[in-house]
Amino acid sequence: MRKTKMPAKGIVIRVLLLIGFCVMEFPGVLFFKDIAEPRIFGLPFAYGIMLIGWVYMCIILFWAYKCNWGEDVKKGGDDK
Amino acid sequence: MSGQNIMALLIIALFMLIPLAMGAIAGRKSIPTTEDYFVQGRGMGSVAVFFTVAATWWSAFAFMGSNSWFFLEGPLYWTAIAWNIFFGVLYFVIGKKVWYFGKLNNLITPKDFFLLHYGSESLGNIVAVICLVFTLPYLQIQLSGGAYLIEVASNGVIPFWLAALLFYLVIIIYVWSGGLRAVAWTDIFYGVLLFFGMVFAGLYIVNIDEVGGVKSMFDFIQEGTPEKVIIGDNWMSWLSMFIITPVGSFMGPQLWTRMYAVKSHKLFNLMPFLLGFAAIAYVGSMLVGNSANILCPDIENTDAILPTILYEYAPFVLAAFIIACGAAAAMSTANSQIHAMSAGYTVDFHKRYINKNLSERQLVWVGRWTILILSAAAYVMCLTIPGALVTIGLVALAGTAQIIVPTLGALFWRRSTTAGAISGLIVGVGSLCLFTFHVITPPWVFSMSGGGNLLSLILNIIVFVIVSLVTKPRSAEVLDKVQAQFDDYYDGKNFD
Repeated sequence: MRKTKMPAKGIVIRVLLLIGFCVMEFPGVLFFKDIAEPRIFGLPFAYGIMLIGWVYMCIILFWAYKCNWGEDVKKGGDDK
Repeated sequence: MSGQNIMALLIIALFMLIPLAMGAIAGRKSIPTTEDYFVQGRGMGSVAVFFTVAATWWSAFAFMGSNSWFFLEGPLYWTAIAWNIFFGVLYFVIGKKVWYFGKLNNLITPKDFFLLHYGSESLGNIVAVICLVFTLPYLQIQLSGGAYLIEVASNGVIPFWLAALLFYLVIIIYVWSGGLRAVAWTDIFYGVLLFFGMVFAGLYIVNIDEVGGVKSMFDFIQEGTPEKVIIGDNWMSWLSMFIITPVGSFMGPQLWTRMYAVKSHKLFNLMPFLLGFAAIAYVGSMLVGNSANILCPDIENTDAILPTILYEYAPFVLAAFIIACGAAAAMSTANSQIHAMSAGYTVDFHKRYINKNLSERQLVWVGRWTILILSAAAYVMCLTIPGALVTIGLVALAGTAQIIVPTLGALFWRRSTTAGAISGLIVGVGSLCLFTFHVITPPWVFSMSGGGNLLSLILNIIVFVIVSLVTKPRSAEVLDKVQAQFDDYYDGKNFD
């Protein structure tokens, strides 16, 4: 188990991912479960909004990869 | 036999012969040790890891079952976009640590991991049994889905029973000879077929004249069946599938193997992005499923939407090729499951309880015979136990998903105990069985579709935490040993 503190960037990445998952999963069942309009990219609302969430998550995940998930490059076993 | 049938048979033959050739080459490189046969000597490269994980993760469930769900339930299955990303994140958050402990301690199976972290043979055995019992039905649906596709692709020339037999003979031959190396190499082939097959099928079908493009398709659905363009009230399925599907698949023995076998730790950082990005392939399934509202609204066997549409609206050879891609989805999951289950039996039970003195070479042979026996069992199940792909798949995944609780306990909670882990698993799996076989109806909102699967996991967590808090902690010896390795992990030691 981890004894050292996680770097701030690592925490930010995890929080952004958590927000992304929440945005993709909960509004769909709480707020727009009966909404088909407006269309997004020609798709009904539920489909389109998830695609936007997908783009957001891909950007965060790529950023996470580029910055070694926020870990010090000399620690966390990466890119020494 | 018509020219079309001959062409279709040639495509199927090619589809079966390429993996066999790959298996033969992989077999030449293999060394007769359990580490090489079951985890490829922990030397699997980045390309192979990505494709074998993606192809194993996507199954007949994804290629065929998803079309059915989009057709019947509208956007409900679209939660798959999120669960694919979740699966990728799990591969980093849990997978990297599992890989590290596997590398340091020569772990091969999930049971090995629990023996290391909890020091309990009983817990290890429970995990091993859950892996075996719940992977078998999931294996069965791969066989059913794949055999059905081959039967359709051959235009009925190859009947279902023979298609299933051929399907399994091919898998047995190459897994027998090349172990995980053969599985990974063939998964590169299957993975490419699968990804492009899913996307191409969707784009092709949505653009045929009768459908008229995305806008026209959704206009038609919204006018005639508006409930199919909204999520609606079945929100429990939406949430339950988002959690159970990736977690259950990730905790399957075939994915444990794919954590242990990785060569470089750096890949774990990239995999969430790659797997998340690849989720876009579900656009293909979404388009196919929705277009069925126009092209075959009265279809009875909804798992057969894709082949039905293709054979009616696409050139025969193209249809046979795309359907072979679907069979690739089934095959790439089935080969991994058979291989991982064989590893589980050989290492966890045969080596430990039946014959402790076997040489490495003899153990590999035990693994091979196990592959043969498990395949035969799945083949019999496939012929005798029918069922919808997604329904069987979700129950099987809900079973393996239970293993996430003690896994998280081992990696993130020092206070977790063996008694807590065992109690949680018993309650989780027990309640899942009661809900699945309708002995008890899940209460409250969990009575909705998919609720029982989620509730069983929640019960597992609650019991795990409570029992862990009131029982004796894990032994100091076990905790100190794993903590020393955790310290090294966070200090960046022993990675290369």
